Amino acid sequence: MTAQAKLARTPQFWAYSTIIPLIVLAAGSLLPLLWKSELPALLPTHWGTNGPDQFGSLWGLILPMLLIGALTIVALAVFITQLNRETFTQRVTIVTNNFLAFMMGSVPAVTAFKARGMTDATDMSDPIALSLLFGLVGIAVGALFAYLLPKQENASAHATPSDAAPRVLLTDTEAGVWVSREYSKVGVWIGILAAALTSSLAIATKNPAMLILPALLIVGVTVLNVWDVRIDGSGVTTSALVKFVKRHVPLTEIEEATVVEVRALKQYGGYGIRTGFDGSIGMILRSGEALMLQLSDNRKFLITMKDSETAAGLVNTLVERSRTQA
Amino acid sequence: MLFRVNPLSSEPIFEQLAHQIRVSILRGDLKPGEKLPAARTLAAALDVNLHTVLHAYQILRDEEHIELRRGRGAIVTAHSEVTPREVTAALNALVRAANEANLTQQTVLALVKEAMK
Repeated sequence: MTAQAKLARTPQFWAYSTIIPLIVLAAGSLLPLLWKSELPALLPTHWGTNGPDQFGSLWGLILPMLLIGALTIVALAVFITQLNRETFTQRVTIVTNNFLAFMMGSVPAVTAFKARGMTDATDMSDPIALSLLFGLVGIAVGALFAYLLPKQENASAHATPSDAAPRVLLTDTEAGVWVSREYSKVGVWIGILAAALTSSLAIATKNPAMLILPALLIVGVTVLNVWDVRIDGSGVTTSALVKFVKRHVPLTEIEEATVVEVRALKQYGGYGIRTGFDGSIGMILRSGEALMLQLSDNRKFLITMKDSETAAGLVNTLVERSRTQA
Repeated sequence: MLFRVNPLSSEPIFEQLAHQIRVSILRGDLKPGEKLPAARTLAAALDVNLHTVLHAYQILRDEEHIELRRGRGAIVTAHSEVTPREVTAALNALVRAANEANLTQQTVLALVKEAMK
């Protein structure tokens, strides 16, 4: 077990990431039971382009969402933080699980609500637009919980960059900073394509409410595929286009910066903000060169970026400078 | 992109910034269509006044190296040409020769200015 074993999964983490989302999921899924007497015998459980194409009983509507949702929420909370326990990871897990809970929990509730008083639910519209809106509420709630989660103190780094690590030459009186915007062109194009496809779906089903799908896709893709990187005397800061989504690593926690090659699928299982199978945290926009920060407490943070050698060099030079001044 | 400033230099900070960006464009490190950081972001990172960065950007705009567009920021123009390899080679040769002859930067610049008249 690495030194990360010291970082705890606190009761607050479990409350925000698992218990509350499970309660929300259960509430939404079981709400239809309140209206049992007003509901038709058969309820829609799946939709195609021409309206509902699969039907089931009330429990056939409730149980799958409840079970799959609960399993997903618990699995994410347990396994992601088994790989990495840093506050950042815990916060991302909290937002993800609240999004899932609100979105999935709303499907049975919305379906049943619309079916109240109906004798025949064969013509009901797809609840996906509404459930995505609930998902947005979940993101907001999750963001609030993430903000409330106390930040665990990280140890100061004592090691300094090795001689072999990159450096940038700065004279004694020079200040050096790095400012860049990293984005995945492929990711952005996939998002635009998906938005176009889902827009045509909204048109095909003649349901303007479905337009929330492409809107969310565009927002989600730009938030997860465009990162601003800043390196200065305070440390390394990566932030999304939405400024409060960010990670700041102070110079005091950095031991060394190097350049590594990253294989997105093999090492991180995909793209975006990920925990690596080696316990690291990565902002993975694409496979290829990345800045790797070796941090105190055996932690690692990677950012895929261009010209990572210069960025790494600047980090090491600034770290050395701050240590000698301290 | 890396930015360095020397607050103790006799060269004003806005000129230091303009020079670095200009050289990056001439070397082809910054390509036409690429966006420079927002002035506010760069000023905050460097811990200098916003107007210092804006001044640098305005100089580069006047030299037609960048365009400043409302809402879009500072973008390297298509007019920006990468320095041809022959020029860079001749430049390096000139610097080598000047260093061997112990000429100052001022002298070399004066000679170049005269030769280009």
